[in-house]
Amino acid sequence: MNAIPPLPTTQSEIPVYIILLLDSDAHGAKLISPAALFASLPGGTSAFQRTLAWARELDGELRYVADDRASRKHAEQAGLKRIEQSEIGDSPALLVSPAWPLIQASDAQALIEHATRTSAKRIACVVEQRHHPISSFVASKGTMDFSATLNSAGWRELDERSFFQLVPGMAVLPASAFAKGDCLSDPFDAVAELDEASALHIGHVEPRQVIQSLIEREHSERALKRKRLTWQTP
Amino acid sequence: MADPMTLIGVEVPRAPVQHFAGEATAAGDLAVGDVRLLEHAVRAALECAPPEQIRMIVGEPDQGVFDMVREYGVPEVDLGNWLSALADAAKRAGPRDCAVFLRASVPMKSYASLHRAIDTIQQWPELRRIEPAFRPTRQALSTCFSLDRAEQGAGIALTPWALPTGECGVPCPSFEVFTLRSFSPAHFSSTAVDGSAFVWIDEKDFSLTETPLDLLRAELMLKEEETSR
Repeated sequence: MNAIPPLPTTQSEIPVYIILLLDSDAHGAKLISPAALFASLPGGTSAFQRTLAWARELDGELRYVADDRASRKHAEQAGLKRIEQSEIGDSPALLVSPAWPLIQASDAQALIEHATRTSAKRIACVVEQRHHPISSFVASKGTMDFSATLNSAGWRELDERSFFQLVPGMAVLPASAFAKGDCLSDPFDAVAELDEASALHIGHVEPRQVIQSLIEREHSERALKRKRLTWQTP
Repeated sequence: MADPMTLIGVEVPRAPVQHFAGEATAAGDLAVGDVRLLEHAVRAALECAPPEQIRMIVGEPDQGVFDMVREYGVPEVDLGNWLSALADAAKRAGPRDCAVFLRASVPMKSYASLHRAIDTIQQWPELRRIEPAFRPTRQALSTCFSLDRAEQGAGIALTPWALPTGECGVPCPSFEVFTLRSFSPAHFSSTAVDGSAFVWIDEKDFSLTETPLDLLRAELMLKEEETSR
């Protein structure tokens, strides 16, 4: 795994926008319902409040995007400004969705620093796929059929590759790309790997209980044994 | 006709699990929440066979394993000796006798699927091996993509892996059931092979114990099972 590359000492003057995605389908970062972002999680805070608390500490201009009235109301009550495309131009934008309530502030800050101090304009966040496709089978009359991979000419290459899932909850993109509907499908300059807990989505099949326990145990040593963000590319 | 015999080997959790948990717990005592993984598996085995047909497969026996021997009457054995015993038993096995390899480090919420697998292999002696399998939903195979870690610079495309046509699943390592008569160490050591039968289980019905998140999932799953009893 590559370490974070050394950073130039000169601080860039480019402003970075931190954009909270409160849309129901915000640029590929799909939510079940925006209302879920504002519902109470254990400890009395909502996913929105959790994200907002650390996003305010980051080095950047905080904005939000929302397509329904209730979400806009919540955002405005929190004192957030709505994003104006003309305002941000081609500045790097860190997109964050509160639907991934266990994303870590330190990872977001590392992404911002990487975007401002290197030439990477498009950075995706990924998490390692736990079930490597080489071990998957096709169900065939109640039996396992592994021939699709094991009998293919390129199976050894497939076996040796690493597989990942995109975590749409956080990414860095230039504002021009952000204006596009689905801005996460184009190629990226760099890929940063998150840990599995950061990839937990409030609407996924994962029991809500798991997120609840992680939040309750946030300060315990065992629960916090999480990987630091690592870079897949220089 | 005599009842079919079921021989079960319960694999005691191994050292890497303890290492990841960061606790100096002996393998036999390794627990998630209040549940000892080895005891959970031994109890499941005892629902399928009497103690004399069950063995705990150990690398290094420890006090937790000895406690289990005393409490449940299930002896420990090393892997080599267990395989030899199975190979010997295979020579005189009936068509419906079977052997089970049960991994305590991959606990299941309930072992109903193990009972189903044993029943199935006893009813269909032409099957040689059955294991559980699940459809991955937390990380769907259809949305995974490969990435070369050495890939440089601009233009990293996140191209989804082309899934084969048909319903895809992933084997669950909690247990494997073999017909005893066709047993050989070669079958035992192979990973899932083409033609093995399987029983579908839900992804939430078992948990790995490799990462802190796995341990939490296992703890919650077993607590839920305990509550529902």
